[in-house]
Amino acid sequence: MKISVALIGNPNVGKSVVFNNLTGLKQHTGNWPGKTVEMKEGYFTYKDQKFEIIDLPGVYSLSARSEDEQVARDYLVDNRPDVVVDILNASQLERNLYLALLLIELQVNLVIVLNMYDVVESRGDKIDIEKLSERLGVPIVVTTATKKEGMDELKEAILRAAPNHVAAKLAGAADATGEQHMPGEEPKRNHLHYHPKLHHHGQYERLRPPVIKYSNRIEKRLKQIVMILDNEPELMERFPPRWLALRILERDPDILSLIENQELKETLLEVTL
Amino acid sequence: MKVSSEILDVEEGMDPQIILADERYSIIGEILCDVYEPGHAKWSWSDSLDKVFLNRYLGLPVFLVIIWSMFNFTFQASAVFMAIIEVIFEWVGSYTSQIPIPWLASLLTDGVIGGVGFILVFVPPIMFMYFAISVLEDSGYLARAAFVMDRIMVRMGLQGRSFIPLLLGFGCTVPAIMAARTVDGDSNRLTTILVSPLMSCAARLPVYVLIAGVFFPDIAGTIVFLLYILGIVMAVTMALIFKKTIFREESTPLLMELPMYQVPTFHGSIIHMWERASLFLKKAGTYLLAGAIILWFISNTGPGGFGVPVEESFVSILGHLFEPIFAPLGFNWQIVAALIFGLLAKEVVVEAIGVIYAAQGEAALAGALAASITPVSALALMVFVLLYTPCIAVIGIVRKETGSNKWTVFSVVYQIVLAYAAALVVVVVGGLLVG
Repeated sequence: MKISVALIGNPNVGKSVVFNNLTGLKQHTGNWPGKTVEMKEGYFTYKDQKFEIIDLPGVYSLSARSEDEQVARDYLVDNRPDVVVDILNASQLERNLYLALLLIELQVNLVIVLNMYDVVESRGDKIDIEKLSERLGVPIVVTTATKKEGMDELKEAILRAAPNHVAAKLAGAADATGEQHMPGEEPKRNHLHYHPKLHHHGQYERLRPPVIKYSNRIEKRLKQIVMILDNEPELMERFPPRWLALRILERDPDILSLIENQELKETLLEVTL
Repeated sequence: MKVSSEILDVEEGMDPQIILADERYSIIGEILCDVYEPGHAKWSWSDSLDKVFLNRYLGLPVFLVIIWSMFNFTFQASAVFMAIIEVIFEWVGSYTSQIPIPWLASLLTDGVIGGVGFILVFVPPIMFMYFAISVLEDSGYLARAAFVMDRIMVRMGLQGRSFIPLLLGFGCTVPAIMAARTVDGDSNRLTTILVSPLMSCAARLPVYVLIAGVFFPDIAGTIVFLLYILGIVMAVTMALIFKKTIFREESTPLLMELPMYQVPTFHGSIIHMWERASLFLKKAGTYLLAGAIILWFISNTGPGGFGVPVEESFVSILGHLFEPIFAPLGFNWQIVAALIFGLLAKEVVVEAIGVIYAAQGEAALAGALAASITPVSALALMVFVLLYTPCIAVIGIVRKETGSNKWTVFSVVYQIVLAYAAALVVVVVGGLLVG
């Protein structure tokens, strides 16, 4: 079975160069039913492991306001790729980290790529990669895609970031690690780490705990919203609960429209910042 | 997906999205404080160039001067090559017209050479314009131009992000309309789709080169420049009108990454230029060739059968049928017929003019054209070509992207009406000025 990888990043960060470096000629432009935005799909093999990689449109955020953002967000939420690679322009860290934070909210298995690192070096800027990785709780790879630098490191990082049970299953182990919940198992009451239903490998996914927490004021309300949503298994199993709560707190129209129970919706909307 | 408005009205105070965005940025700020150490600020020539190009007051004039230079370069660089190609086809034509089989001689001389050969004369300006555009693009200036225009458009209450698709419209309207997908909000996107065709695409260039070359040879570059600017002005004006009447939607500010300035590589620009030229040649060898043969056929066929004089052909009947409508603009039936065929593609306008005049036996097209319409009408003709429906492919893509027949019809109709109105203004104002 292939490990599915999604490539995302702001526009003009060299995302397609990274994509081309990884896949070479093994790629094609996919047609996505009902979508007008084209996405490229490609394959590569590393250490005998097959990877299937998709190039999502370049976006600054995931607010689903433009079609590009909508497509990228829907893909991540609905398909839950095994690994998400966020490509950053290392010379524009502040702006580029915004999307990284949104991906951390999504609790995906993230790998951050600091691309265009040659620009950082030529400017004499210093980035403490180790510390940044620690603060974000995400593995970071430094690359200069135009010179094909750092591509093997990136492949290694993607392989390592793939969830244990996927890797274990691929390695032929009969039983994956006991960490994740199995279907039918009574979930622990730790809702912020709840597992969305039906991951594409047919198993419940263990969500990465969000390393970055917001201020108490926000986190408190997130918990409140998750409590209210406790009786809505359909929503809770479809989305990572903390992410769902964040979207409701943000009044995301797409998410709000999914809540059919008007009473519940009003109760949720009473939780405000 | 819409949320019932009464629920949204309940919320008070600050937008929760902004609160969360602030929260995220403050976390990013904290982290960067910890891990990032800027190098010694070096004087960067990219920044100092931006001081000029993006200057609040200088930005627009600089943009206009650069574009104007681009068109003058296009004209002057291509003039020699155009003359060479013209001579070659004249020479070939002098042989094909000697073919003893009259219909074949006519097909090759008037149809193929008069139509396709004539259109090929315009390959050099197209190549040079793409060369210039690719130099501007690769150097990083085009992104700045979008930024400068964005500022103006936002000040007028428009979605600045639309300018990027509009810029693409200089090349071809079809990708411009597709690029409208990046525009936030349905109505902003629809506005962009509706006004993109007003930006002058490369296919319209041959018409300008032909007409401006015949009527305003000394200031041809400037005339074409003004037409392109008129296209931008019309696009912005119409967007504003749509915004104030049909649609109302909040626009979000443009967040744009300005690429670093780079010295464009000659190699890259040549490749870009060649790609465009080969696309055009492919089109000329297929659709335009087929078009020329069909045009030749219906220029020589009428109710009276094959081989009738042009005046009795179907083309003439069609041209005469619509001629009264265009009489106020001073267009003759040949041009009216060419404009109707031009709905298929703008190159066909030039092609049709070539075929019809060739079938009439007019060897010197320039003289024949100059004799048949006034310079003011010639200007009106260029304005009309600039503004009316670009081609059948655009109609198709508008249909596909809007998913609505209503908007597709609206798009076609409003452009024809606008083109007619603007051409009429040119004729009236021009008539007053010329006296």
